[in-house]
Amino acid sequence: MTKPEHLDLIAAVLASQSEPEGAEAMTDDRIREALTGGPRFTNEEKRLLWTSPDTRDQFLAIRRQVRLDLSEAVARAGLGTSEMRLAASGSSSEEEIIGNGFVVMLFRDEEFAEQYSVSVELAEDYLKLLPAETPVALEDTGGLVWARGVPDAYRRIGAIWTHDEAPKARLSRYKLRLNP
Amino acid sequence: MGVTRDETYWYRTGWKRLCGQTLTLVRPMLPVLAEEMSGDPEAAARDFVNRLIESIGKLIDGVIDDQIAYPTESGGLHVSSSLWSYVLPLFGDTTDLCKLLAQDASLITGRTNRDVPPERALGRLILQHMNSARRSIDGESPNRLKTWEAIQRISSEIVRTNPGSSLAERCTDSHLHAVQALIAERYPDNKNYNLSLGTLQAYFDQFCLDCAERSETAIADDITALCEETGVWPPFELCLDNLRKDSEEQWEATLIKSKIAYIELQIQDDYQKRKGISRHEFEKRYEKALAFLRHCLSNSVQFQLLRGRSS
Repeated sequence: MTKPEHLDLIAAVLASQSEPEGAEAMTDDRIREALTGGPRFTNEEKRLLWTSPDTRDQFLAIRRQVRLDLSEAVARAGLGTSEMRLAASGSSSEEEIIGNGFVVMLFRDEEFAEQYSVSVELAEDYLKLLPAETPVALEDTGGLVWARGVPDAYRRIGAIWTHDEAPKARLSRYKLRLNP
Repeated sequence: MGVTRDETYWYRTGWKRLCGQTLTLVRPMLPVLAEEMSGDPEAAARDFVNRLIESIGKLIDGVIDDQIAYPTESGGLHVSSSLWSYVLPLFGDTTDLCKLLAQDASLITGRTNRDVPPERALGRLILQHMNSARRSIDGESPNRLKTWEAIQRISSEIVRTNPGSSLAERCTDSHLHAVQALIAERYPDNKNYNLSLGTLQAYFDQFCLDCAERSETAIADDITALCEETGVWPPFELCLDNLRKDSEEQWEATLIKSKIAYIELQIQDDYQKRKGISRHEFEKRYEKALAFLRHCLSNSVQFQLLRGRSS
């Protein structure tokens, strides 16, 4: 798994790549298709995204546009946001936060008191707005990403909490958002 | 696949990248330009533009000039990209550019009270020239330009009326939301201005001079996006471990340059002094490290794609 602290260095390594010789381009339409529910990228196309700086830049620009349009559709449907207050339920080792179109479960490990894990379940209404295999990210309004990934068969994504500040402390200051 | 990137691609979808790469080429040329401008600004501007054109020509030929001895330090120039063939025509008529450069000599040399870094002043002049040259070559549709002018007015108004906000914030999602909301308020019945966020982003990518380069945070987000969409998450720590086994000094240069806090935090200048090495030597080590890591990353991606792994 790639560590978050390595992302900048990976970016620097990729920025130092040369364009592969004889590399063919992908069209804007093909990239948009793969990002909006059409056939996913083939292995050859994925390889090109990792090896061709020009193709990667094209892909990232189109992806930003696609994701912005998706986030607009989610907002228009009144989904993806949550209130600031915790809706506490269950034992103290579990907290449930109900958002618009998603539910966040916070689990605290009894043996390692400060070890939290986060699970997010998307409502069907939310999931219906997303093309298949679209990753989502749960983040707070302070800009911290809590969990990200492609929802599984149970419409869930999850993550182990790795940040210094406890999740409940952040919830007292920030709201949660679930973004495509 | 089976297509190539042509003028239509580079002057539209790829425009932001084309501009970013040109700025990467221009940036290391600033010290010489600034120095020469203290003499005859007009002659200095002409010489600078000629050097720039010559460098673009060399990049088209795939020749790396001495002046870009540290491609990694300058953010990476993609020598073999087809984009350079589309940069060159933009510098066909440079009369106005030379005049503007000479006029803004005080900004470029930093001899001004205005709070504009020389690099930024030079970058804006180059981008303004490129935008204008593109319009004359590409014949951008008048409707699209008109729409951009309306977007730009709204965008500038938002920046102006929000104390503390900077021009760089024009490239953020929150700015796009604000622009969209204000456009809807100002032009509620104009269908031409009923723009989705994605469409607005495309306009900013193509026209906004302040958004020609991505911020550091945005660059890290891009890598996460790449991993998510390809299902490839390179175990980069292994690459770093292998680099360390191969060359401790290259590994150290990498950690310092990329500010990964595995070793006691040190800044580059202190490290160079302590090790008794020149800046050139340090950059050489870092470049070698990047070459090693490129190879390792490429193998790792290939391996994961072959295995069809996604974790």
